[in-house]
Amino acid sequence: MIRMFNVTKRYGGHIALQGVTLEVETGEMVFVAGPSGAGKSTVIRLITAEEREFEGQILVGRQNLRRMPARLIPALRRSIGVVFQDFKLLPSRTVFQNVALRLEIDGVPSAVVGKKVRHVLKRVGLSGRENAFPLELSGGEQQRVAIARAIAGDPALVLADEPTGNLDLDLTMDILELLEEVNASGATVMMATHSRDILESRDHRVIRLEQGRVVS
Amino acid sequence: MSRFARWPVYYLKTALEGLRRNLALNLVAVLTIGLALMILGAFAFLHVNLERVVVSSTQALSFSIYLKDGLAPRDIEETRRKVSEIPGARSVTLVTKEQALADLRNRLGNQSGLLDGLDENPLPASLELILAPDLDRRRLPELTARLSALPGVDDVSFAWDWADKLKALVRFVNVGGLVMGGLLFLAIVFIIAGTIRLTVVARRDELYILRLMGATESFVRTPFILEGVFQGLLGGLLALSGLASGHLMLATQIQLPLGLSLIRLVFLPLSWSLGLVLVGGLLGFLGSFLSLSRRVGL
Repeated sequence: MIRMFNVTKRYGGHIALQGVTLEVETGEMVFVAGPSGAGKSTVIRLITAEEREFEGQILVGRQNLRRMPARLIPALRRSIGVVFQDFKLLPSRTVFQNVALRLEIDGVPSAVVGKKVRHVLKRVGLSGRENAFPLELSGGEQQRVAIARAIAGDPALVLADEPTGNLDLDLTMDILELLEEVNASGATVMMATHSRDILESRDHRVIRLEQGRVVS
Repeated sequence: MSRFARWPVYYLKTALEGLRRNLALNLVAVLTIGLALMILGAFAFLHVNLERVVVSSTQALSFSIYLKDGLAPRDIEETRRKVSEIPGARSVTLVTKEQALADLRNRLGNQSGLLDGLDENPLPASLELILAPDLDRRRLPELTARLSALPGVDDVSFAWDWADKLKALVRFVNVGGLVMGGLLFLAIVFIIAGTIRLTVVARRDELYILRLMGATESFVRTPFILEGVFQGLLGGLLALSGLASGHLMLATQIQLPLGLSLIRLVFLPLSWSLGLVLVGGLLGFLGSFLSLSRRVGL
């Protein structure tokens, strides 16, 4: 699903990733681990084509990001669900609208949108909270909304960038289970984390980064 | 329904939501656009009415030939005959002193009592000469001289004199309207560009998230473009209602001294009125398009 060959990413004089080579198989769930500044978020930003200047090669599915024209980026992003540490929900829209937006971008008919949003909210345990606004929810609930939004379009790949960074341990394990369910339903999941608790609690493959290099 | 056909509902919903969310800012923009378009509309209104006066006054070329007082009926008849022999004369009508006074009484309406105190009728008799419409205008000075030289003629007045002046005024209004219009167009485009830009910047996080979820540029930008178009259209409607109210006030409240009737003012033709609103929409489109030329967010 994801292949990186000898990828280097620089921000001015700072090297965020250096010669990174990694592979994630379709249907796999992997952790990208490492301390702050190791380059975990950069890996995710490269896969979503937020960062387009890099050295090396990146393949996502059948797309070679190095050769991909800008007009194809939206289609790439629609095939990926992304979950962030700070949720990135739209505060002026309800839970329902936040999740529906993902489907509206895909051009899903409104009758189907309603059904699909209710289904996906049930899946993440938020039935009945459709009309709440994000700031009325707890951190764990907000992250569930973000996950619902990420998986609403049935993406083949879900990227989670420190999704539990703002949550306590119980909520962290809940979110982790949710992502495992997403993985069990067929999506490839790549989750960046620096939490030792998470890494020790599961036996998913771990790609360790330190100072922009893969160390194991 | 295709994916592209379904988006308009989203675009409309989002654009209206955007207008509602920044209500105060949008109201100020709509008011300003409305005022600017009203100034443009006022020029158009002036143009339409002046043009109408010019056309009606030059449709029939006519002279009023005032006769000296105390002419015998035979002399009047002789003058009338000579006038009718003028080249290009279509018809000659005698307006007697009594008819002239009766006409004036009529035009003064309820103020005709002003004329009751007159010892004698001060108005001269006149001959109204209508010329052929295809008459060469360059011959008019010569005709005026010829008519003035006829015995029994006191004065000759020709409607063309002031029609020429009116035409010059219409030209001035047209040029002024064009110059002012150009400046106002620019001003409106920048007002709309400014307000949309503020909205775009205020919502940059939202745009970032939309793009990250795979929204295309048209999906991200179209609601903002529509917002600008709505601002322009609303400004146009506001201008139109302002002009209509102004027209109503002018038509009903302005009276000239001595009750002489004001030329009947007409409102802008339907196509011009619609045009004004559509110009607002077009300027809204240009303004918002301009404001989105620099990318904000991801």
